[in-house]
Amino acid sequence: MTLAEEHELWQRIRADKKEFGVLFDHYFKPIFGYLYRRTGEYELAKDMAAETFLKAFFKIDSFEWRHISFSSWLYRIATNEANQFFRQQKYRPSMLGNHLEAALPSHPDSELERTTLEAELKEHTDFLLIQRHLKNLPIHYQEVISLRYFENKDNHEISIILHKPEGTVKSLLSRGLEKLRKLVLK
Amino acid sequence: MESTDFEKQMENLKIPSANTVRPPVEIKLAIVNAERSAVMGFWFITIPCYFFFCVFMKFYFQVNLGIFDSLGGLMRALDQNPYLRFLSPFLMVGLPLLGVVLNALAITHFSYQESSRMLQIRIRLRWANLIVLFVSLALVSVFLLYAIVENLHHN
Repeated sequence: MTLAEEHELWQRIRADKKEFGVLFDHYFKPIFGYLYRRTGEYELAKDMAAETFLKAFFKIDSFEWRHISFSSWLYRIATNEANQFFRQQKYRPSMLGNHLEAALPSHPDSELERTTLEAELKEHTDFLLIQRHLKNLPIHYQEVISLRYFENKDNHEISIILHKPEGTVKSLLSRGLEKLRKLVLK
Repeated sequence: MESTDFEKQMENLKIPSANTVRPPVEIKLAIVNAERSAVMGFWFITIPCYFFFCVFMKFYFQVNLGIFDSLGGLMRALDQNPYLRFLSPFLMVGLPLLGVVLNALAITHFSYQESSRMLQIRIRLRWANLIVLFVSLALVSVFLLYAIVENLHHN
């Protein structure tokens, strides 16, 4: 989706909240994928993705159009959700229980979906090794490394998502990679 | 392994796509309807809470907030009209009953597991809904008890 298309969608959502469904359909996969690659847990990633979109839905009125893509904004919310989990080692979604709990278990194919995704994950042994070591790094390194190497975001996009200057992102990446390399070699 | 080699390894790292995930329709619908449910929930909780706040103020602090006078006036007016007479029992019993049903549905979730042929009923401990549910239930019981006693008394 181009920025112009996103701007048009943003205006449509402001006029009619039901249009948020278009945003959900378009970005659910990448956001879920990001959270799944960060956590490696299907249910957790799904809860976090649902919470991300729920928060985005309730914050959409305060979202001001400043030529920042919806994608970056959603990645920012998703990153905060993932960080909350890594900080506390448990995940407590603040809105999910009140609005979506009844909707979550009714997905009939979720068991099949979970096994397919877990099988795919198991095939990526190098990735699993990196992911396991990455979880032992401080969160500010985890977020830049996962956005750069798991999501293929460039430094500019990462700086927008994390609300940090590009120079900071660059140095976090370089220091984080070095720490990760040492952990992998241990 | 040198830093540059490791960086290259990271650049070429094969990533699981997680592309087989399906955007869940039921979550999407729940999200786009979340605002409406929140507003409805607010009214279902606010109105009974205000009513019970008035009851509490009247019988505990003897402060009449006027709701009972207005309600009494409304009931008398309804009772005098033969076509609208049914409305007062509906207001007294029907609305709290509606409160019981709606709040019970808001906190209960049913799911059927086909593999184990088991019906699971889960009740969420959402205190606002539970309080309104029990208060509404108490209201229905009080009004029904009042109606029965009054009926026996007349007979």
